[in-house]
Amino acid sequence: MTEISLEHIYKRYPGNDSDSVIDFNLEIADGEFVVFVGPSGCGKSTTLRMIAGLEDITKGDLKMGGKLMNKVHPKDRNIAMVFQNYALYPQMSVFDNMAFGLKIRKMPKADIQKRVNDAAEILGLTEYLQRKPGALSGGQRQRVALGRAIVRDAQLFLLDEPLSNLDAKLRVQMRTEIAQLHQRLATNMIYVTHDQIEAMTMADRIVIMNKGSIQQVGTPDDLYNKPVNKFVAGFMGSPAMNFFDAHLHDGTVSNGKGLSVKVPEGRLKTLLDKGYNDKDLIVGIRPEDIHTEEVALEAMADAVVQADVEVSEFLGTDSMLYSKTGETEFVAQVNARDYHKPGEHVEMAFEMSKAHFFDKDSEAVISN
Amino acid sequence: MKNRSLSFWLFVTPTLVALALVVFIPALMGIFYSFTNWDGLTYTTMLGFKNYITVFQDSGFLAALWFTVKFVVVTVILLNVIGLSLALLVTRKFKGNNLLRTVFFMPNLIGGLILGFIWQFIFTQVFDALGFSGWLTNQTTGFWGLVIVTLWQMSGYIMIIYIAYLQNIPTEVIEAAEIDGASPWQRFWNITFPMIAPAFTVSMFLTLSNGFKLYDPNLSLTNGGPYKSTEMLAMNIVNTAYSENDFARAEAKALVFFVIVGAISLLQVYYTRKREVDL
Repeated sequence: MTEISLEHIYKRYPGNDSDSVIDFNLEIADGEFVVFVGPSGCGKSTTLRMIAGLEDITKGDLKMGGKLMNKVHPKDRNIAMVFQNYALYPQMSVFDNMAFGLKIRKMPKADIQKRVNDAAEILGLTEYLQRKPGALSGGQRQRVALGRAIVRDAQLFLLDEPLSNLDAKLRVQMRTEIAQLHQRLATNMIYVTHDQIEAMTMADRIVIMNKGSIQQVGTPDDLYNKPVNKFVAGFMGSPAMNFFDAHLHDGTVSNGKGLSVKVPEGRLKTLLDKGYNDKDLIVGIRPEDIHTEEVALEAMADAVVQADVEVSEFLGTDSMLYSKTGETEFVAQVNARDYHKPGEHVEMAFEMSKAHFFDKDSEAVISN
Repeated sequence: MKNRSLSFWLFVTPTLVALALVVFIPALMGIFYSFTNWDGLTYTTMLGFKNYITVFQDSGFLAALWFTVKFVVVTVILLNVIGLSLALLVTRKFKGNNLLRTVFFMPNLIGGLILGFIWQFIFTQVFDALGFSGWLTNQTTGFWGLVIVTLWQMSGYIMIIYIAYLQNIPTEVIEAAEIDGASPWQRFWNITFPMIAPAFTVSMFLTLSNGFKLYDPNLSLTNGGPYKSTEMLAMNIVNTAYSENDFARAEAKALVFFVIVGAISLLQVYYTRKREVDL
């Protein structure tokens, strides 16, 4: 449908002395599903609202299909938006909710009828068309909100945390439905969420933001396996990556609080090449890269720690071991067959070839 | 109901007694007196419906009723239009909107009696000086004088009610309509207006019953003059009782008045309620 480009976008709210969105640059390809993710207040919704035209752009250019859109009114941007709390018109029936935008645009009645019925068909809302939103469940309301966007046949869909008001099960179901919808419509979608799992599962590309700035743009795989800094590494993945402030000496990273593991050859070379010998750095390791199986303990004998399990969570296929070695706390995600009770003493191997190393001061990645 | 505890009755009794003493018993007594020749102190004979028959033959009462109905129609419409417009104005984002809210509400803090006198001065002295002489000297200017004073007093109050409901409309709904392509007027007419229907019910009821019951500005602004041509229902009743000393007939008028106001208000609430939506 259309390419969207955001060039050096800034947003500063009147009366604030700092920018809410800082130098936002992004090119969105035709038909792409982009997810903005980040903690509350990181500027992701503000950016979305600027694209929608609901907020003024303080500085920078927003272009759609090559055309500058900064001053174009929301209704002329040919966009559709789905809001977190659905934002349905309470006094109108489901049919009228979906038809409102078309009626406003003076579309012939028969066409409206057809489009709304088609959308209702896709979303399984046909039998609810005459109901008022108040008589629908949360999931149905969210479908109506989606339907209102679909019928418009817009060139860009903006979704602002559309699933956060739904319960966990429904959220997973709607996630799939939105993904299918995207494949079916092949429209550009920009989706805002604070839930990294939603971002990982749905996105073609993820834009991860913090404190108003883009931290990294990439595929879910990029962000998970090749984070550019400690923030991205810590935000993506659940439970979060373990971080240790450590010192590199003689091919071993240790933190003086009970953790001391060898860095494998290849990884060590990169660190040494970049001048981190005898220097402080941050070691990051994902919970699933800490093992308790006998095979792993043998294979990684120089990266084994003696740990005490403090809390253990059984999750069916996996179990989470919140453990401690010396003064150092960390989480290990191990196979449920290796379940250990709290208080048990367990040997654990750190798979250091998969560790991430970050600079202590800049928190930028040294080696992934 | 059988198992009401002692504390329930301890809490309810004082209110019940007070209400009975000042509302229920006087009302029942009033109804009774309206069938007698009560003069405020004693009564000698039962008159049956005679008082009620004279009420409807009383040209003064009927004139006051007609004047009041006209007044109510005009003020209900204007108060709601102005109140809503002011509410829409001050709920926009601009500097000083809070100050304006206070300013618009302030006349409501002044009692109707005082306000009537203030406006009497304005209508007679200030208008005169500006070349609009003769205000309050005939029924038409008296009528509009009363309307203006009422608008001046009540608009701010009605505005507050509309503000409360306007602020309850989620911004997202308005934004959704904006993205759907609705112009400001379409947004107001299709989205905002239906969503503040409950405010309409409340304000309509308040303005309606207030209009019918209006007394103090009537007293201080025109005192019913000239020649009782601007006498409203409440004033007509008071005058019957205290000027003509015909308390029994005044009671009958008051009861007729009560039934009219009650019936209209209930009807209005019933019909506007039906149009409201559950949010």
